[in-house]
Amino acid sequence: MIEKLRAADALLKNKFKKQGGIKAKIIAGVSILGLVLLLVIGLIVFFVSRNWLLNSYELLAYSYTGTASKLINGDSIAGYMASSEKDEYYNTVDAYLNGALFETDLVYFSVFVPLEDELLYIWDGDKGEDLGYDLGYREPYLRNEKEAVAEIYRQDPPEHLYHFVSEEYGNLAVAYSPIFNSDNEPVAVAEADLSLDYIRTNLTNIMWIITLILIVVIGGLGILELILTKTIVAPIRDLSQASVDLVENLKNDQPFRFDIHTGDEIEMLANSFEHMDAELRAYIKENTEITAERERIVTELSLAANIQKDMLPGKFPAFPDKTEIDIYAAMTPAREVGGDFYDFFLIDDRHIALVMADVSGKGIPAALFMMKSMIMLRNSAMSGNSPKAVLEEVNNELCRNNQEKMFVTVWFGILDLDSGRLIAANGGHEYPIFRKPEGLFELIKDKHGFVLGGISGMRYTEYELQMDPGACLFVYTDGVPEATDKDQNFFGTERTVAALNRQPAETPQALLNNISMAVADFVQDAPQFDDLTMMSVKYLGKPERKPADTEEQQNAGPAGSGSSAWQPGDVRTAEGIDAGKPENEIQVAPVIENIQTVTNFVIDDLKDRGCSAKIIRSISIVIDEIFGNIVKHGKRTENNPVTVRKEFETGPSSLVLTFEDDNAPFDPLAREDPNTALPAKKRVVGGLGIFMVKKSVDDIQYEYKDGKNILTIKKYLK
Amino acid sequence: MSCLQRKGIEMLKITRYTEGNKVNIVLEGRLDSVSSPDLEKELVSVMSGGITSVTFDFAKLDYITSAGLRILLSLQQNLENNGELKLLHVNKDIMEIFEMTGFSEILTIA
Repeated sequence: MIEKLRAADALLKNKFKKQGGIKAKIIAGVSILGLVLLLVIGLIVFFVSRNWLLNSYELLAYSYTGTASKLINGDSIAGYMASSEKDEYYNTVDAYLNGALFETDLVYFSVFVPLEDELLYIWDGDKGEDLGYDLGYREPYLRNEKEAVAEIYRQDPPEHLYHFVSEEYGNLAVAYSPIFNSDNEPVAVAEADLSLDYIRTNLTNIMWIITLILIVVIGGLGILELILTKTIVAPIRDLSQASVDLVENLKNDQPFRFDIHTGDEIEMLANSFEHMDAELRAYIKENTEITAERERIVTELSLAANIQKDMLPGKFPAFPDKTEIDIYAAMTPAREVGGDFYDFFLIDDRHIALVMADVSGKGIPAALFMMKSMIMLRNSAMSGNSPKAVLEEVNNELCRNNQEKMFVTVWFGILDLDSGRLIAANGGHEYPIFRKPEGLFELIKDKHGFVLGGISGMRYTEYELQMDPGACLFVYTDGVPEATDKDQNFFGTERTVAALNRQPAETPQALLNNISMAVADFVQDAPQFDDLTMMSVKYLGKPERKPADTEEQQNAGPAGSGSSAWQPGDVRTAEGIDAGKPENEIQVAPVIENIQTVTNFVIDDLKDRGCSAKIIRSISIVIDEIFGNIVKHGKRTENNPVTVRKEFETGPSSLVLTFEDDNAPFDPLAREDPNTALPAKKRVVGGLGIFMVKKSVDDIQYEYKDGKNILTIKKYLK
Repeated sequence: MSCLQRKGIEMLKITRYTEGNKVNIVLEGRLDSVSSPDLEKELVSVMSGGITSVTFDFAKLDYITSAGLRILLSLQQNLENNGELKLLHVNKDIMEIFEMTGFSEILTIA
């Protein structure tokens, strides 16, 4: 969860970097606004001012020219043009014009007569320096001036300013008004000039003022932005930082700190954060506890599974000394703990109990019920009950205290190891599969009693199966026939029987393997739904040899009675093979210590016959070497005894000794004699023994026959 | 070894006398496949003590098999360069075995 917060925060930070945040937004907004304002207001003010100015100047100029036009006597013009004499009237007008120039912004105020190509000045005002044109001065028109004059040289002329640009005078705005004589004919023009440059200067001043105002406004906006930043953006940033810190603090288990006291919605938001932080901590704590608890349960579950697994007999071969049977079983649970189980145990020396069972349900409840059932079955069987009685007794016990209404299907059998007689009863369990010797496996549809743990007081029926040597029983739980492939098809009992019959004579372990593989092939990738439990028992019959009644046999090692394993010191004698000669053959375990046994076996006779010490020594050495070799070359895991036979011949008196063993074919005589001339450093001991034997006896033969190495030596006894 | 103990037979009795870095071993009985491990064990402890001279007294030794020969050969190879191995009072039969196997040339027999 912390990871999610971190991720979201990182995403935001990226966005932040790209868009620059609120502050940047404000700055951008304000700047754009300012520029636009500046532009718009500036333009408006400019144009409005200019028009206003121009209008007022126009008014001014025309008020003077208009006045001049009315006041000045037009009839006097002609006289002045002709004589160029200045009378009193002339001076009065001149003074008026000068006065106007002084008082106003007019730059020129004059009266002229428009001629064909030029102006003839009558009056020209000046500012007292006598710079004005004198009466009679002629000047050419400015560009377009003639047309302008022509426009006004009439009654009711238009009154607007004309603009002229000249090198001499600069930018001019000129007003013209015609002067009429008493015949109402225009005879002259009164002209008043204003400098546009001057106007421009005025405008510029205005613009500066406006700009200043705008700068102040923008400055004010800037301050506003700062204020906004401080009161809104900064707290928000604090909030954002706090939320990042929240995550870090959670991780490092530090307390939550948050200093936002803006007294507004932002502070409310901050409080929400604090609240969220508290909840998060609580949630995480709870989660951690839950996870720890869950892990504890998982561990306990796997320990429980081990305990349960250990209850099923899992060591094979199960009874190495009971060669009457070969038994193998396996359970593959679907979940960690399951409800299937098998069991087998010796009730007494000649009876073995066999159990195959399936508890309803899975998981821990089934496992617990399974253990209960297993122990009850054992107890009941060990107290000597027959299969029917076992099921009845266990059923009643299970029905007691069975609040959860669990039940178990059981197939239970007792096999007599001596006779091969199997008595069994079935409590709602799968049909067993049975094979007669040399035959094929078949499903045995035995009589089903009810499941155990369901209804108390149920009766069960037991039946008998004779297992002759080679017969084989296969029991299982429904996990095998009900194994499903991805199309929901069942493996089924028919396929089970068929898989067994692929190699019907095989050992139980191989049979179980075949079934496992067949099921795996069938199921392929589909998940395992149910426990796979199987057991197979093959009856091999009693061993052929009966134990001999010798002292050694009774003193033999810790094997159970009836054991047919060879122990060191075991000596068994066969019923006389050689005509008339009892006890001329012994069988001993292939262990070094038995050199003594064999030696005694032979030498006692030699002593009886009065053989020389030298011969006795010699034969002792021979026995040591030969028997020692057999022990050395044999596989230590096998207990197959070595047979030693002695024969005494006459004419000439000699001893024939035969050694027989079951080891791999090995001809000791095939070995080259060692080189006895080599110095010590180069000598090896290998081959020395048989070399010594060859040198000590008079004849030595080897053959491999019927799976046995047979070495025969003959020594003359005189 | 239990059956042997039950029969109360000692296959081989080994008596050791040590004088500085010389050792004298008296064998009684027979040196065969069954008893040679005992002699081997004895010799391991002897040789680890930095012994350079080993003398066997075979006066009471009945017979010897290839297992015993192996021990003698190993000892001889060990002591040949910087020590000595000597056999005393070897009886006729054992001597015959030594000759038969060429060991009479390898061992120092007195």
